[in-house]
Amino acid sequence: MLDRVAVHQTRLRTPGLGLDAKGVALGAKGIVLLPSIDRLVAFLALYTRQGSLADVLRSLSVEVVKSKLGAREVTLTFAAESSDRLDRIAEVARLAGGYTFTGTSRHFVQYRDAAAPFGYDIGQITPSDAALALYHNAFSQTYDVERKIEVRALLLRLEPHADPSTHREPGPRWIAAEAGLGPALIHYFVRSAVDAEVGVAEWPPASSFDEAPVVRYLFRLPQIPERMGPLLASTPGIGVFLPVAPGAAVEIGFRHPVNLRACPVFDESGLVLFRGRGNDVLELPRLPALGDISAFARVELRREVLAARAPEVGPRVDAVSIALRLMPSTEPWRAVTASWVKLEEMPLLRHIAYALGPETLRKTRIALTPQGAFLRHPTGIEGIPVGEFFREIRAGLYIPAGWDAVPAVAPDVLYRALGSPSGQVIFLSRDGRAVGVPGDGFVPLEMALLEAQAWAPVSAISDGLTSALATALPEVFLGGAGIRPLRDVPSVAALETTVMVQSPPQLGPPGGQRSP
Amino acid sequence: MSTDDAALGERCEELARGVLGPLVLGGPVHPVRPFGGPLGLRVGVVASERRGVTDGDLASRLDVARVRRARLLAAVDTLPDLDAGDWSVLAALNDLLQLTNHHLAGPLTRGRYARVLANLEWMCERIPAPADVLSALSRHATFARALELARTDSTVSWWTGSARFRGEAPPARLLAWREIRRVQVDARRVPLAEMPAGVTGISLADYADVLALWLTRTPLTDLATATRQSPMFAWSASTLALVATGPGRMLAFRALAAEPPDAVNAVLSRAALQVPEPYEEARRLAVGFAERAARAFQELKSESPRPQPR
Repeated sequence: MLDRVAVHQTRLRTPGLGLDAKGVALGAKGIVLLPSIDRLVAFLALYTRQGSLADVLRSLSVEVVKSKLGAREVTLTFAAESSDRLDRIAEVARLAGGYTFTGTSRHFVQYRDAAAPFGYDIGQITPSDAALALYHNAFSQTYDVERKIEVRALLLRLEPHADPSTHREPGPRWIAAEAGLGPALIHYFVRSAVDAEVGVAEWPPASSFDEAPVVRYLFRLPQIPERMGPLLASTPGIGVFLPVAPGAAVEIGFRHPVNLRACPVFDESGLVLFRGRGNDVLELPRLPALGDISAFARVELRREVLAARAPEVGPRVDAVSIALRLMPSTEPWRAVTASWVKLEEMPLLRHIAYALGPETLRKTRIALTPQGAFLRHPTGIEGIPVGEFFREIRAGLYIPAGWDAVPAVAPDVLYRALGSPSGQVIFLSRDGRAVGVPGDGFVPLEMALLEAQAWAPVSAISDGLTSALATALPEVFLGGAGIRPLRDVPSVAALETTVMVQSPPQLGPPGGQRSP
Repeated sequence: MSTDDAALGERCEELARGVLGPLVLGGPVHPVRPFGGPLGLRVGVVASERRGVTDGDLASRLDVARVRRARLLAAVDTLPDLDAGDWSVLAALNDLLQLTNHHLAGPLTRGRYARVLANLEWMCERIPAPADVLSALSRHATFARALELARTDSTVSWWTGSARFRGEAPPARLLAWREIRRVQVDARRVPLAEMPAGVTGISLADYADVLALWLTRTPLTDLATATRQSPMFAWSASTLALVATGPGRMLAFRALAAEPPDAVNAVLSRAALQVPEPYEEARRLAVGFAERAARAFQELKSESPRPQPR
């Protein structure tokens, strides 16, 4: 049994145990005793979810210890430093099924808990030569160290868990491609105008029977276009990795059980790629030289350069003019600022108009033609989901969104080929037909929507004018003056003797004389 | 505050509700018990010390109506509260109306009218004229409708007799069964100048004199109503003092511009001639104002007429 440390207790029997500023029994080290490796992994996973392991990593030591009865357990030893840190570790250890002890060299006593807020002290030290003696309220045990476990090695051995959500996480990616797939992938990225860096990494042969080292292409991409995600993730021989910590990346679709960002055990100059599906970890002590993939673009050299010559009289080349066509395009939609609502879709437009916001109604302009309604919105027409969307490739020239004009002439050339009609807005339909809508035919949608509304006049009441005109005439009503009506009015004789003092300044002389 | 002042304060409230409010805002005017000369002068002092009308709603409506009236002559947004002189003028108007009240005296107390008349003259002679042009405008804004005061006299006749009512509504019993009793009501509006008709204790001439005297206490109103039939306009010290200043003269011109030019010219010319010759300065002022007014009306007439709206 352990003794609870009392308030203001000054002496402790456990060697190396002292009291910190708060009176808590604390040694120089802390030990977490875990029953197995998987509990250790659970402890690390839990701890790294809450905070970084960096502060304890320098003093951290993971060992497998063996009791006298042969039971093997795992201990984490670290510098205690303060009761705050040890409190946090003790909570996580309790969750992971471990016990927390504190001490300095060999004898470690149970760290404080709710029953003993100031910790515990040993009643009697167990005489033993064992490397570790742990004293708990429920047991006292001695252990010998069997072997050490490196945290880095432990993390490398842990198998990532499947986690499909990592597919959606944005950010840079590493791609490891087998040697045969590298060039094809380079050209695929070059063709698709994807920014990427590529390098060639080598690993030792997988077995003694292989003579050459294993070569893989390593790509670093700031962002993978979304459309390429499924292809790259599902192609055998290509692995896409999500950087989770400096010098470490986990394959897309998987997540390492420990938060690697909280475990700074990997060298930033190297790279560790954690692969899923039971594949080995790919570890690179140093990153290979990486170069921009544009350097690998396919080049073709001409055999000779034709020099310009003076025109000679010869057979004339026939005209090469071809009809304009529109072809589906894989380019992302940009500048989709117009739509063409066919006549049969007009009822739907009327329905949708009720749900449109005031800003959309104000900024959208509409032209009504026998072919239907043409809508234009300077910042995007997607807010009115009706009709066929058009994108503006040049001022006054629209082609259907998701389609490109072939031959791929410049928009200005195309506009000139259409005759550069002034004041007309040209819409190219999918069959190559061009429709011109007069520019001044576009009116604000809010003006075109409402039908003429019947209104009933109501008489407004102008308060000021009405009240001025309604001022009643003053009319005198005479009535009885009561008993002794003249009790305040002095008689004429008394009036003659009344003396009043007139003092205020006045415009005219006092007294109302009928004539001056 | 003494008991007398408190009682006088209540009478001020009574005066404001019964006379001042209806005079400015329109409606039935119910004159209160006569004040008499000394009390009429003192009521102004007490009322101005009590900061005017205590009924906030009435005070607000009075302010709006007075400013509206004043803005017909000058672009003012506010007017000063009624001063002691204004309250005394109001008390005098109340006594003037009571002078026409046939209920004031009976057959044996006819002398009351002379007593009230003497007090009224005494009071009007002692009410101070406006101290400046703004005071004149403010007083005019309050009393501009004084000559609009009217009384309705009714004669009710039925098949067996008739009855006359001065400033009173005929009782309902006399108006009942109109068809059967062949009731006829002859109502006639009596303006302020003719109100003493029918009162045996006061003559029309005396009443006209005291009304003219009362008008001189609000000179701008006196000038603005110069074309009235009775009492006829005559220059007084206060009206001459008003037109002797430039702004006052301008206000007077504006007030007279609403009247018929010929009538104004005739009244001003006659009034100027009535100024006694010994008062040379006053006569020169009156003649000069009449000439300027005539010239101004001539200029107004010679201006190109406004285009008629189609």
